[in-house]
Order: sequence, then C-alpha cells, then structure tokens
Amino acid sequence: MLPIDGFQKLIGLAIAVCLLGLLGLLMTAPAAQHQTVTVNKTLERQLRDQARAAYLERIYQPVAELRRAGQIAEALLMLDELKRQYPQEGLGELLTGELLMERQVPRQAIEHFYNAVRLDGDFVDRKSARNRHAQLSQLVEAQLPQALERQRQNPEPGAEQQVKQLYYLQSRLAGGCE
Amino acid sequence: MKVHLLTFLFVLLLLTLAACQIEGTRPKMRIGYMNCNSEPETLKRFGALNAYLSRETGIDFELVPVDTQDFVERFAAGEFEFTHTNSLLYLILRKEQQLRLLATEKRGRYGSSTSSSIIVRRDSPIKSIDDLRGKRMIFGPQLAPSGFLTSYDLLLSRGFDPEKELSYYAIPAGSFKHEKVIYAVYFGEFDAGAAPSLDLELMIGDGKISADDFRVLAESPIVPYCTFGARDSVDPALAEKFRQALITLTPETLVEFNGEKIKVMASAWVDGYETLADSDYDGLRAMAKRANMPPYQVY
Repeated sequence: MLPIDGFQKLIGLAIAVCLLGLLGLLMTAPAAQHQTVTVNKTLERQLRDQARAAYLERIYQPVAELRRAGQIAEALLMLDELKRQYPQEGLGELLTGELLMERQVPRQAIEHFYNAVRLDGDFVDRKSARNRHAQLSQLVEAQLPQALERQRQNPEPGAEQQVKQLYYLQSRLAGGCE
Repeated sequence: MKVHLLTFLFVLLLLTLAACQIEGTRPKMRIGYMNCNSEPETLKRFGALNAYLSRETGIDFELVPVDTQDFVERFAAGEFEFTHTNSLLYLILRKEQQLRLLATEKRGRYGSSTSSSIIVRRDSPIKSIDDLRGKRMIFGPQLAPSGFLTSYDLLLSRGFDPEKELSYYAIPAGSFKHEKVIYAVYFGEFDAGAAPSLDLELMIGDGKISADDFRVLAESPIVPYCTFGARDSVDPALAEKFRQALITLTPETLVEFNGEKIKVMASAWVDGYETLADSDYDGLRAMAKRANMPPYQVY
C-alpha cells in the first residue's frame, strides 16, 4: 500500500464534502419543487374555472335575458341553438331543466337535470359557486314519490328510467360518485 | 334401422316446418301511418319500425301511408287495424270508432307531449297577440294539434278570435306544411305563423333556422304527441303484445330491414314510447270543444 501524503488527504476531504453537499441538495430540492408545482396547479385551476365561468356567463347571457323578461319559449329555443354549438355543456342542460320547471312540466325537466349533473358535477358540489344543491334536492323530494307511483301503475321502461334518473340525482346529492 | 332413421328424419322435418312460420303463412294486418309531411317520408321513416313490430308480434304488417284528411274515412272503411296518428285524429277515432289507445310517441324536449308557438320575425313590429289585429297569419294543417288547434285555442283563450280579428289566414298546400309555415314567416310572406314547437326545436338543431330569427308571442299548453291505437275488434292479447313491443324499444334495438341491420328508434326519429291514459288527452278534448273542431264541432 502506497503512503498517503497531506495533499491527497486534502483532496479526499474536499471530495467527501462535495458529495455530502450534493446529497443534501438532492434531499431538499424535490420537496421545494413539489410545493411550487402544487401552488401553480391550484392557481391554474382557479384561473381556468374563473375563465370558464365568465365565458359561460357570456354565451348564456341571451338565455338569462329572455328568462328575466318571461320569454320562456324563446329562451328554450335559444338553448337549442347553443346546444348545437356546445353539445357537451352541462349548463345548457341545467337551464333547460330550470325553464321546463318554470313551464310547469317537471316530468320533462328531470332528464335535463340528470344530463346536467352527469356532464358537470359542480351542480351537486356544495363547495362550488355553481352548485344547485337546494334546487335539485327539492326536485328529487317532490318528484321521486310521483315517479315511483307512475312506475307502480305502469311498470314500463320509460317510468323505470325516470326513477333511475331521480335515484342517480339523489345519490349524487348525498355525495356519491359518478 | 334404416326405417327408424327415415322416420326420425321425417319427424324432424315436420317439427322444423312447424317451428318456422313461413313468411307467406303468417297472419297479415295493416297499420295506417298518418303522413306527417309526405308519403315518401312516411315510407322511409316507419319502414324499420313496421318490420320491428312484425318481428315482435309474429304478424306481417303492411305499412299504409295515409293522408291526414282521409284517415278517418279510410279507418271507418276497415282499411287498417292499427293506427299511428296525431293526437287529434286519435280523439276523433276514439269517439267515432272506439279506437283503443296503445302508446304515445316521445320526441323532443316535451317527450310524449307537444305544443305550438305563435311566431313572428324578430324584426317585426308585432310584440303581442293584441298586435295581430288586422294582420295576416299562417297556420299548419287544420287537423294538426300543434300546427293549428293548440294555437287557435291559445288565441281564443287570450280573447282574440282569429275568424274576426285577423285580416286573413291561410293553411299551406302540399307536403311539409309545418316547415312552410315557418319559412313563410321567415321570408315575410305572412306577419305571423302557428308553428309546432317541436319543428322549431328540430330546425334550430339542424341549423335550418336560428333562434334569433323569430320572436315567440306565446306558447300553448302541452298536449299528447303522436299516438298508436288499435281497432276495438283486434284481439286484446295482440294489442298488448304490440304495446309491449313499442314501450320496450331502446335506442339500441335493431331490426333487419331491406338487407340491413337498422336502429329502429333512430330510423323512426323517435325517442321512445310510453303509455298514457285516455284522460291525459282531456286537455286536447277541451281545446277541440272550445275551437269547435272535430269530433266536437257543432254546426
């Protein structure tokens, strides 16, 4: 074995210090980076939600105006127009359901509320600014007994489907998943 | 051994023949389908549904396209056992021929119901029913609930008598009358029109018109949509089989038709069928009485 001089000892010590420093960096760096990503994702989601809400408000503005003016039939036709452009947008289905309730045809409204919640879970999420929890709960409470009675009188697929749709809404309102 | 084999084969052949009803030996019946827009459309639209009903009931159904105006007369003459008509024709046939209610068609946002809308152009100075005084209006065919009766009754219910207060009203001739009403208003031929809300919904969905093109002055209450019925002499078990075939249809139901497997509901442009009670037609009955329309007209 060759003898080790002082200079070599110094080099060895410097290498050990560098290695320890790198190890320290490796252990601390990922945590800091992860925190940054989380913050960015939250911010991005909030920005995205806000932009989406603002955009939806703008495109559904004509419907809201007609509704305020009591022009339910025209508002429904406007929704048909928007549905053609945005077929997968839950807000259109929700508004159709609400307008049909105002038109006093709740049986016809159920399917639209069901479609709305399937397309957009925010409508049953109490934390969401867009939630319609109270309104949908009232709908289920009022319509489910009637739908069950219709199914009892006419046990056929259409009546059964409506009961299923109301049970689905009830489940989602209670916090159940899709 | 040879004799046994031949006997076995003979019995097998007999059983096969008995189990398999040859097309020509099946009972034949006819379904009268009211022409909504035109005869070619009726044949194209209901061919697959007719084949499905034949398959499900074991009856060879002949599809008979029938003009709305001729329907009652041809039914009374015994030309068909089952009917597919609008709800006003159902009322007439029910009252005069004891037609049995089977199932009601679902289509559009009101499902098994429908309504009519009184429309004007968006840029029209007409803002209300009162403004229609002295104006020209176009209605759909007279026996169409959502093209004529419900709008006519809507005007009467607002204290507006179309016979006295419009300067003139017309009904288009030929096929596709509902679309003609909508286009007649769109192109300014008439000041106002009585359009089925379903047609407006469908035409907007197809991009033929825009919601921005029209103002809706008023929309009628909803009444039942197109209806299947059976002559009272039809075997109740067969009528029930027919009804079951209709109400159990799903969007995925297929049928062999013209050498192709076709989705029945999509082909017939329907969202399904459901069972309504005859009393569900009472609102329409009341409208027909108020408007002095068949089957309650008084001279």
